[in-house]
Amino acid sequence: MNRKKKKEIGDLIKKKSLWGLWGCILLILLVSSCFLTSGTWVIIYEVENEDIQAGAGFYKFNVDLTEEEVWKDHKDDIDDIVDVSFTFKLVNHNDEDTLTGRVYVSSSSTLDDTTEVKDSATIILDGISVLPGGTLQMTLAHYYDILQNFDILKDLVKSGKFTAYGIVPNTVDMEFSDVVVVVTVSAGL
Amino acid sequence: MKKSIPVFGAILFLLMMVSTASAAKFSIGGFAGVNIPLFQEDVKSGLLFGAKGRIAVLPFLGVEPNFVYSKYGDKDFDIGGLSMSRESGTITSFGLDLLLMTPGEFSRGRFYALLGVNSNSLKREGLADQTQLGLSFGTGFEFLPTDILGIEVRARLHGISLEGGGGRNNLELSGGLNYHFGKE
Repeated sequence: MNRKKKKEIGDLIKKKSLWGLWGCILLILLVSSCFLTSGTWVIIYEVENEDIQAGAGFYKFNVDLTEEEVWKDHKDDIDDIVDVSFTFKLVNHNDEDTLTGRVYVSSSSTLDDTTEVKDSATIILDGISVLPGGTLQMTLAHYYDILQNFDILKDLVKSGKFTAYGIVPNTVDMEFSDVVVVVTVSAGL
Repeated sequence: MKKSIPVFGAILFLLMMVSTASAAKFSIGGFAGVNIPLFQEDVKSGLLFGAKGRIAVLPFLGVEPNFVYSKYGDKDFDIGGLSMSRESGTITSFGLDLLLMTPGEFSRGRFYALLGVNSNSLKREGLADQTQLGLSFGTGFEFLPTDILGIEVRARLHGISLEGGGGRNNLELSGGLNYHFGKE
């Protein structure tokens, strides 16, 4: 094969390679356009202590993310709820009994007793324990150790509104306060 | 990840063999740097390190199988007046980048642009692990003080899709050393 022929073949390979490369780039850009233009935003939702309703052996509070600035800014292009966490303070005023508690979530805000909550809501935190006379500050680190049913929690949060219920023994003198819900959403830029 | 390392090793070995057989230029290298999250309020910058091989299939075109382990920095949040930290997670990535290089050597160095696909394993405390598709774009420069040793700096945009939709995009700035086999 003479040198001219070799050069022609070489040029042809280069040309075809470049076209293939541009084709790949265009295809990848088309496929990826959704996730390359998204980010994550954090909503820190503080529940006022006076908005926590107490009943016999249970506490409840409503969470409405739809009025938060981040939610309003991205409500039309929220892709997913990436992370959800709860922090709160529990004080056990009893000198003899250890306080145990569980947290449930539901789309319904009308559950009014422990039986209804246990039957209808989804448990997300179990194994909360506060020694007699003690105080528990639920931190982000502790929260993830006892978290369960995260996928159901995520779906509830994605609707923007849900209700959380705390179940405790109704014989224990206690205080439930300083609730904060931290939500990370993935959305378009 | 345990399964992926032998696969990555096998690909690297295969490329070395192909490279040797075809007398194409081949290099292996290691690198380290910083992983900067873009538009992500829930994580901070962290460190990364990795390894790669590169085969020049044409004078201006290279393919690069690579492994990158990167970590996000833990983010502190002010929650009700208390500072709380959230573990931010890690990414283990195996991928293949395509490099469009300046032909030949210019002052013993060369610029390149890269485009690649990768498989990413995302782990974060309290959340289910997920393995997701990722894409990378970037540019870099390799300086060759000798025929066998290259010093490289690189900026790579690494986008990773998330299971429920959306994605995480990171800017990876790294520097490293490459060892070259064969001649161009």
